[in-house]
Amino acid sequence: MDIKTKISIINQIPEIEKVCDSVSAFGEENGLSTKIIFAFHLALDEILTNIISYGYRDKDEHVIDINLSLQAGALALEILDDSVPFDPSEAPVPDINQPLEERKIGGLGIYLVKNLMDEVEYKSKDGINRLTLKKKF
Amino acid sequence: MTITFEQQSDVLIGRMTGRLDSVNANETSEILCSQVNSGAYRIVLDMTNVDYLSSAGIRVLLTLKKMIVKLNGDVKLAGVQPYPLSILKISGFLTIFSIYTTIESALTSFCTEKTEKGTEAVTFDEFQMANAVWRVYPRSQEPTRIRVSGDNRDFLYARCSRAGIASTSLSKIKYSLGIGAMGDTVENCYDRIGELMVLNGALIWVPTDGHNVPDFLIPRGEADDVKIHTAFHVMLDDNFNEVVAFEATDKQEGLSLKNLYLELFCLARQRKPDFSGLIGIVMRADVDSIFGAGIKRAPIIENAPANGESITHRDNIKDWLNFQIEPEYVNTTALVVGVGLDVRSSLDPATVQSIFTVDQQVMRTPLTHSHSAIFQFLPSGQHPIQLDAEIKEIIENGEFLGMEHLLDKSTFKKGVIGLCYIREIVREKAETV
Repeated sequence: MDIKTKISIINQIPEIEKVCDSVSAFGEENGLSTKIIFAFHLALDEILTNIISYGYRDKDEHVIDINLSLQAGALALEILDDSVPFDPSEAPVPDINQPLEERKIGGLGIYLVKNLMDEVEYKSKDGINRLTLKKKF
Repeated sequence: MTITFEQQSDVLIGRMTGRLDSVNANETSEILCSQVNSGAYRIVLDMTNVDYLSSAGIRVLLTLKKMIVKLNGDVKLAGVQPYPLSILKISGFLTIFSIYTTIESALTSFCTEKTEKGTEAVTFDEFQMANAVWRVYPRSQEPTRIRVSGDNRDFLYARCSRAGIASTSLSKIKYSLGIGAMGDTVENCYDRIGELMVLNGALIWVPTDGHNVPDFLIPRGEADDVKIHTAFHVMLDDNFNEVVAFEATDKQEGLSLKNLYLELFCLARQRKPDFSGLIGIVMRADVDSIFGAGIKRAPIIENAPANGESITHRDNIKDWLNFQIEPEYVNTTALVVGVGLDVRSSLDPATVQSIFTVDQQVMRTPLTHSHSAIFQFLPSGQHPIQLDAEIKEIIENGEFLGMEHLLDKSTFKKGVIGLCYIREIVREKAETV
């Protein structure tokens, strides 16, 4: 059976640290490598920063749910939020060969997530975005 | 994230501890930028205690770098840990930041730049892979090519013919390896074709006349130009995309030619996302041991094996090839010209076989074709980045010992490599002279 945990946060940047701490604790309990844990830290860092910084049109408090589940040979993460729909697969790919002067950070976060994860799946239904990330180990 | 600062002459060292992520990015950026505003223009960031980095962290480093470059200064990273290093690699920032294994080497690089080049910075990346420390000095961004004439399969099946011989002049080639001969006409050297290479003005050729004694020739001036006739020839220019210096950390073992090619493929994939899989190298190296192979007779159709098999077939190999069983040329200096193909390349099989000897039994291994001239040991120069000049110096003044087709198990202690990420293979047709 899959081992699961659920974390809920509000749309504030410092909350990301709380999620990462929970992922670390979950990882340690289940004997996951630092490499796996850091990959998920990065994914959460990048995705949640995007949602919190650019995803809401109002200044209200919103809840973001994060589900972690340990499956056979993989760790899966689900992020559920009610921000503006955003499909990472449609994000522009950054040009990583540009010289210093032209180098930008925009789009790099999503690019890193896609590189570090084995599966990235996005669905939007009834105003809820559901992003599923999976990495094998 | 905490940062403590220490000034050492005109370099500011910032020792960072903690994670460099979106939670503390703004705060960290403010701390670093305020140092620049207070006059810091040479900074070494000690990242030994930073185990985590996200895109927000990269933004902090990039903002600092852009700011400081405008002041003709630089920021260098030292002690970057494996995970942050992998994030910098994936996101293409190894070409932007100068990375050093230790603070000391980062500090030294600032000093060296000042004394050697005035205010002009020499940028390079330093990292550790496969038991060696590597330094990469970026060079030409221009796409590079190899020129190929003839076909390696004609050599492999000993079916080279007069009609398939291509003729050219030594002065038209910078670096090359192949099968051929030197002579006024094809006719007077055709039956002696053997392994050859061109090294920045010198032609080295082992005639298959039974003596196994190489010819080493440096023409003086245009009038003295030499005609080369080849059945198979791979030619490289000197517009290297990078110059790569390596030094094996294990002094006992050295780095094998196979691992060397593997690491260069790895480097190529990181630095050129559109990497074709094919690289060309020109290397000057301190030899640990050489394992070579040599052809015993001319691979011409008149000599073709009666059984119709290749010269490496078990019934033919003894008649055709000499393999070194024991390492030779221990502690010498080698000048190598080679091409290598990554197994992940999508090059079509016919093209691959025209350049490399493909062993159907051994799959998933890199294909390499390298020739080496070996000289009495000469200590490496003080300017590793002037490879052409150093090679010229060795061919003019070194004591030549021999030439070998290199086997992958040959090992090297350290070296400097002119590396070309090949974008194009130009086929040169045989022309009659």
